[in-house]
Amino acid sequence: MFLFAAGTSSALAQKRLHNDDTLFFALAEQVTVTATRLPTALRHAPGATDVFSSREIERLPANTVSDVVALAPGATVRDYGGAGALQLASLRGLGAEYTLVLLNGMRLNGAQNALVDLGQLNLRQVDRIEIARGGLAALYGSNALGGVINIVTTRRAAPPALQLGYGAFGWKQGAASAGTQGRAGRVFADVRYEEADNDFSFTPAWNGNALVRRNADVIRRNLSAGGTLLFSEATLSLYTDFSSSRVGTPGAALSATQGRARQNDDAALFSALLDWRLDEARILRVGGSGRIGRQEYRDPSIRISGEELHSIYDARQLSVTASLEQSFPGDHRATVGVEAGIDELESAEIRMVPLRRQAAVFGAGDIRLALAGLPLRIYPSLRYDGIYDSVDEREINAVMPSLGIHAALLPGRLALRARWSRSFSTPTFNQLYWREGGNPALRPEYSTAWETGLVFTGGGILASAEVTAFRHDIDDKIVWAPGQGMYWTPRNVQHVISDGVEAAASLRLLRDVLALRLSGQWMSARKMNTSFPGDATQGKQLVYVPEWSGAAVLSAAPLQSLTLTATARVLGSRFTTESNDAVLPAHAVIDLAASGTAELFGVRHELKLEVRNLLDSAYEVIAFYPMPGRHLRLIFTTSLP
Amino acid sequence: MKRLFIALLTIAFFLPASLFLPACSDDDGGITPTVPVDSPRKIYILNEGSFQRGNASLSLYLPDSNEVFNDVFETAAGRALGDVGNSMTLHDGRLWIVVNNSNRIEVLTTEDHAPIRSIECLPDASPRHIVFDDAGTGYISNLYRNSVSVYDSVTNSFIAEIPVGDNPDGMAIAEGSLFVANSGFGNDNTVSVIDLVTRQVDRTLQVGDYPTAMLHLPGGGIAVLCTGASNNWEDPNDDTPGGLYIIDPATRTVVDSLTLGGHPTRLARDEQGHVYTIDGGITRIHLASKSVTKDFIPGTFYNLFVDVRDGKIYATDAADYVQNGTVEVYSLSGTKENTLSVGVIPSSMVLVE
Repeated sequence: MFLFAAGTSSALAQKRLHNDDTLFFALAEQVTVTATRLPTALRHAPGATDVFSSREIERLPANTVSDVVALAPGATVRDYGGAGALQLASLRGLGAEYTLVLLNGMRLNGAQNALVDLGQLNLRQVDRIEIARGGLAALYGSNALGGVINIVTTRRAAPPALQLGYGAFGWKQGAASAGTQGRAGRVFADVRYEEADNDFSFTPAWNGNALVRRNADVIRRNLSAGGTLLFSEATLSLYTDFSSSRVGTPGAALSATQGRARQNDDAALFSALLDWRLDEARILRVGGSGRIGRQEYRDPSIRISGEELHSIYDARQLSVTASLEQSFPGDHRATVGVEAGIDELESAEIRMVPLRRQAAVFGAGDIRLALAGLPLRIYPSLRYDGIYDSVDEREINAVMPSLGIHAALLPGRLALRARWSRSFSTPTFNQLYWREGGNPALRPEYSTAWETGLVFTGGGILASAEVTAFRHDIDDKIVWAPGQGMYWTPRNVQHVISDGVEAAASLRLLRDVLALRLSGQWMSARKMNTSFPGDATQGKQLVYVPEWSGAAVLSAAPLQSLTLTATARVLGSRFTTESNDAVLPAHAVIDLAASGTAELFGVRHELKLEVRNLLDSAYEVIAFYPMPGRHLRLIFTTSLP
Repeated sequence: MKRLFIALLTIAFFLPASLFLPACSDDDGGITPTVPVDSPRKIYILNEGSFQRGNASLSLYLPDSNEVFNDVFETAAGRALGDVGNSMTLHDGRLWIVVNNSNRIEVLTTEDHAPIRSIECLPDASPRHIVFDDAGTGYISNLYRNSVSVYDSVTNSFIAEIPVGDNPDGMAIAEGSLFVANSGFGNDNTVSVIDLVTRQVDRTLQVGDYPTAMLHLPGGGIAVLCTGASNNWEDPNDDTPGGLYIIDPATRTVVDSLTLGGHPTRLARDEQGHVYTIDGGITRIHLASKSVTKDFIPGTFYNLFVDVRDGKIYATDAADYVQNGTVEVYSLSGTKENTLSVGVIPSSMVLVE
């Protein structure tokens, strides 16, 4: 369950990044550990992978992981109303339950519903975000049918800093960090407070009169701390995070009376990772992580037998892992490892107290060959997962293979990459054991995925370009359908094929003063089977999957102390019904950020102005969940250099 | 100047992106035929639509010409009907459509379907049904306010709110009283009796678990359908059975009952002494003999309606509850005669003649 952000790879990437301070994007030698589970240069990865570095993230008009993921190729974010609202990632048209989200290697997808709200993950202390698309269960186990989002926190020194933010819709943010480093390592602590009333105006489609969004307020508090202890041949990294979220969830804006539900999320997590270089050829990694979380949902509008709707979920996760990475003569590499973990959920909404035990063995390799004199890399991987649920003593045994290749057609310029993989997703506790409609007979969902692409690494204006074609074929997809009585129940009834093409390019303009990242994708994610004779949903696009979408990030550094970044997200029209007879229109959203820095009396000051939704687009990502119009945010940061 | 140029270029680059977006449209390219307004007999079918999809709709079936017209409300009003069309009532030549999750009641004429009024219900009401007394005053059951609100259709305002039992659902008016089924989602088993003069509950009747639907019987009685409670969902053996209870509105007492078993929903009747309900298929109950015929019409139906003059049973099939459904038309002997293609989750039906 752990993913290792090797210190050596980070150091390598940082060293190369610093070679060119005018570029915001590490266009040439970004390193990914997500795509193969071995530190690998991004341009050598066998599958479509993108990395957003901290340098790039800092300049974006972005506050949460969700804001960054929305700019990645092949990714869309299902946003239920902007800041404070639920924000779910979708990779390659597949749902959030098929997107595995890792934080320092720790799996954030819980067994309750496998969903991760990216809007709750702020960007402070984030070193980079890696987004690897494709079926990756052979590396990471369940849920990675669409891909993996890996959030890696920084290992760099954190100078004392204070940040204050103020913006529209009552947005206020205060944050402070402090840290120190020496020969023995580093320690840091970071606190953050954010609040907003989010009372923005919108005009619902069912009524021409403007309304104000109510009960969409948010309060979030975070405390994170950690550090790194350096030994002669080893590094011990510790990270802990406490988060508290209080949000209003007004629900779909279907009437002038908006919902009054509230959701509280509290979580504490920790991770520890020992990175031990045994010798020149071997690295041993041992880690552990845990998370305790409580989610509380209360809706005073819904009263059943005089009692308002009130549900509480207490989740507990613990995992340990050990792996050995070995280098061989000829630059071949391999890693083998084991993982073990438990997930437990306690709630009055769930039958009994389900406990899931999981054990896995995995291996992955990087084999370097030459084919007709051209470099060829082969990335095989294999993983076994044994999963045992206590409630009904169910066992799942899954063996997932994957094979990737990277073939240089024109060394240093043009490469062909391809990957084939099998993946699976285990039914969640909600699907299995929800008291009113859970279905303990559910089976895992399985998928076969392949992708192939061309990667161009250039020079001059076109720094890099790539195009990738993919197919994900999912069998036994779980879908909720009417069951006995008034409740719905999930069943393994759907066959879905998601086909698509992703294209991305990075450009450097005006002697590297401008950097441009462009991406676009076409996706066809369709239900292939018929549920009954005359089924009108067969062959139809899945709801909320746009056939086309794109993003652009344009950054300029006209002065050493001034940076300008503009982002554009374009989302094509999306069907809101399974029979494709209702549609949300396409929309474009442009955000701007301008940052200026100055140093006074040995203290560095930065003022960042963000303009969100510059065009004041009136749009919905999810039907009846209005998004805020144009608004401003001002963020002031002062820090010791 | 060069820096200004770069900044402007930065902004200008993105502006054209929005110009190439297709215009907002949800037009499927179809042409909605003109609905004839002078048909002697019309059956309106309210399609609930999927929860939070905002795709409730109104269909119209003309039995004489065997024609179906869909999206009647949207065509006439130029806007969507809303989210979860729960029920509709014919009153004063108008259709009163209760759009549950939009918290509204839409009123339209049955002549040309012109929208008359859109009534915003009380906050968090979750309205289920509306019924009218002889004076034209409307009574709306509010599922989540545990109340009935009183609506003055002349002044277009709410004039009172009457607390009742848990999660009120179906209602019926007779003999100066309003009878309200307190469903409690299975945790209540009462009917509140409201005096229409004092507008207060002056009696509470005990019936079976989970009372939901009410129906006027030819003899003057009121039938109350109780779905029965599921209780612990992990234990099917602790369910309580569905049943039919008869209230005499003159004495305001429960005068008879019949255990049906299972978990029936919906109520309709013919003029041959039968009451129909749904428990998967259609169950037929002969009131006089209390004989129950389960699966009188086998299938999986969502709602039903009986055209007593034509002797037809209209049973809705919601398919998978996300795509358009059908209305299956049967003779009173249970022979299938027709299938009508309508909207998503077809449910409540009303005859206008």
